[in-house]
Amino acid sequence: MNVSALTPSELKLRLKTAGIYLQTGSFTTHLKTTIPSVAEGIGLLYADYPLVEQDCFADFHVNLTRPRNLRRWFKPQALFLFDGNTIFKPLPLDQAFPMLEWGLNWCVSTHVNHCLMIHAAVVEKGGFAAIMPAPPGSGKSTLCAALVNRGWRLLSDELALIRVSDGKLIPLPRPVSLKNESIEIIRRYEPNAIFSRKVADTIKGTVAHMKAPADSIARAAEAVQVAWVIFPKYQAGATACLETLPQSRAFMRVADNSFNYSLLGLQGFKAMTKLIDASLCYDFTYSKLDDAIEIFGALKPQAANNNHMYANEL
Amino acid sequence: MIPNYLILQALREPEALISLSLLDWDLLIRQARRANLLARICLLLDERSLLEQVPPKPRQHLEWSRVISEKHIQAVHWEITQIRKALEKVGVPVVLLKGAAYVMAKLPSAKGRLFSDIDIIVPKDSLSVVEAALMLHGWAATHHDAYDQRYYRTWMHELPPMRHIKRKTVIDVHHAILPETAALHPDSAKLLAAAQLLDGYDDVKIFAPADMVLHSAVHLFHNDQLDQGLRDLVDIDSLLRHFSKLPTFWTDLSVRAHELGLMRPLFYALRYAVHFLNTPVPSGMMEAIQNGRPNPLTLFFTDQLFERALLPAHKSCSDWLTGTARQILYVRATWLRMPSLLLARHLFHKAFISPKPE
Amino acid sequence: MEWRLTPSQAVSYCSWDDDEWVFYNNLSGDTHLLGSAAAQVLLELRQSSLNALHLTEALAQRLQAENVTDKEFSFQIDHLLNELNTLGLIEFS
Repeated sequence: MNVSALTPSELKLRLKTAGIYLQTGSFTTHLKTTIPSVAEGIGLLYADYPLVEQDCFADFHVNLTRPRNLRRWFKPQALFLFDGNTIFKPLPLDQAFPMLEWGLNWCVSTHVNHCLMIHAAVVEKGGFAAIMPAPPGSGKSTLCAALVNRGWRLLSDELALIRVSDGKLIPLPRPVSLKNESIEIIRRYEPNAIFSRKVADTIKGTVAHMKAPADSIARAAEAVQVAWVIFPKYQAGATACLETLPQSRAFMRVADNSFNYSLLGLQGFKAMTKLIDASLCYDFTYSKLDDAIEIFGALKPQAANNNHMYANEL
Repeated sequence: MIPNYLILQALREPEALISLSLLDWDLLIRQARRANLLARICLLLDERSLLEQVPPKPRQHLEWSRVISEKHIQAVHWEITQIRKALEKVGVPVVLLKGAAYVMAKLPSAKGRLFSDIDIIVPKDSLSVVEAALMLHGWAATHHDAYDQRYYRTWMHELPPMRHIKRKTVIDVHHAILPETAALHPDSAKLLAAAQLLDGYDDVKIFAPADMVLHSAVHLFHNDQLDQGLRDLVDIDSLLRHFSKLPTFWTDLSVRAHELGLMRPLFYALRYAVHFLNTPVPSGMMEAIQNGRPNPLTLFFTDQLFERALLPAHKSCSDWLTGTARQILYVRATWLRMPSLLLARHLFHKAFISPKPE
Repeated sequence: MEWRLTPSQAVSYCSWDDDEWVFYNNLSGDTHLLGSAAAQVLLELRQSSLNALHLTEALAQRLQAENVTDKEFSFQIDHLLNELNTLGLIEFS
């Protein structure tokens, strides 16, 4: 059963009382909220996600609620509770839905350790994944949103999960987070895309979330081989340019963008070595989305044993 | 007397966990995570070769936490290497306390432990050379507030915590195990004199077994932050079980508690370790430390407080008195360490003057 | 007094060309991107502990540094050794 099987009022009631057990990628979140904008956001952007049976094992127990203090009468706020504990400072009530998205990212990024976790968008085509690690402001989500509206499968907008045991990428398709001008750019680029209501004045500026394509959600259990590591950079007026990046440099930059590379110790080093060895690594500068789509469309995975890596121990 | 919480069952009898339902696992994982004991439960199951029998979902959570504790233990080793380098020329042996000592001495209480800092103790007259040497090697004071600096230096048993500017790791340098102002005054010179060299090192020491247990007891029952209470009690339980293999351990422990004037914390430590974790304590031991037993009324109230506050701060382990119990214990711990006029000043300062993050 | 690899450390490394090497030190848990000279120092010390003079000779061969003056070369090597020491990868004893 998917979230869409519940009517908006059923969903709202369920979220208020027992909560829902929402499946995103390989994780189950027990989610409760009394905040109407959050219920609406879930009804809109999570309609195609499976609901797991009530009262099963949940990976994360999350509650979005309004703090009980005097302020609630003057400046209403929203609070993200992880299993009853406050994780972030309260935010204005208006930002409750983006807060849920950030909170769900926090749940995964601070607990999951069977995967090397990279702050990156990931898309797939023809059985191969492209990881796009990038600091905020590089336009990775804009590029990701454009790609998934032009035939690429969304694997994740924020978290690349590379399974340590076999190096495969585990999909975690969730709404794509867009900010400021990117929102209108993608709206124009794909008028059929579904967006949550814009929220202004967050720490990231104005934000809105784009619904993940239904096909990406349905195929969330299919792990994928990574073929490319691409560092995107939006630069106004620039001609699209894909530049090969030495693997050792790519190694360090991906590690810099990883949540748990250092935590994983030797396992992390080995997983990263394997990932970089299997991938063609590039810096990618672009300004026009259509050019980017064209260049991504022409990507070819590397021929087997093209790299000459040596790995050893002192 | 104490409800049969899953987390306590798991610690007492890990073998029984394999029959848990998924729903029980859900709750146990949450209680254990809150108590910082998830990795320990993972290791308890693993050393009994039972991990494979845990259903995949909860097993994944256990294994996630093990990754974190392995990293912590590697980091503690590295940090101690750096501390030894920094203090090489000071000529004072580093005496490791609590978690750092358990890890380096490979004691069972180190299993699955997480760290926020490293504690060491040095003679009071070496404090300033140790502080200077650490500063020379990249550690810097964390409490810049003049009140805090004065508070630590005048009243406390440690320097203000120091953080390494590159690694961001924190070291607490103690010169005693209780503040100068506390009612109990265990003699630091006696503790340091009995400290033993760590196997394979000529510059690192740890407390003698009985002293280690007593310090652990003092730490738990005179600490103002009880959110790690159960974890600290697990330390005590684990130390007692391990050291009870030593032929004269229990006698040493009661003799030493008398000598250092630490009968009361030892009494509480044994009482609650037995209650919560079924720690095997020889029958004569409780009689041997009867001096540490408070009057029945005090004991009644203390039981009420600790039976709540030692459990994980999770809603499944709380009743309507839990929040109050934690607050009373904060005041109590502070009370035990400071005379009352000073206490009023400290709480006043904490409550009204310190800038509080919203 | 000789330079040697820090005892009981297990360093893993990988490289895709000869210019840059990624080293992982299991004791510090740190990862370092090292140039070929630094990598050669570590590989040389893997064979045996050496004093700075012998090390410089061995490296001059490995790095084919004929066109650098002896003085400058040993200055560079000294600097490198100190850097590697700071990272905890080698020690002087």
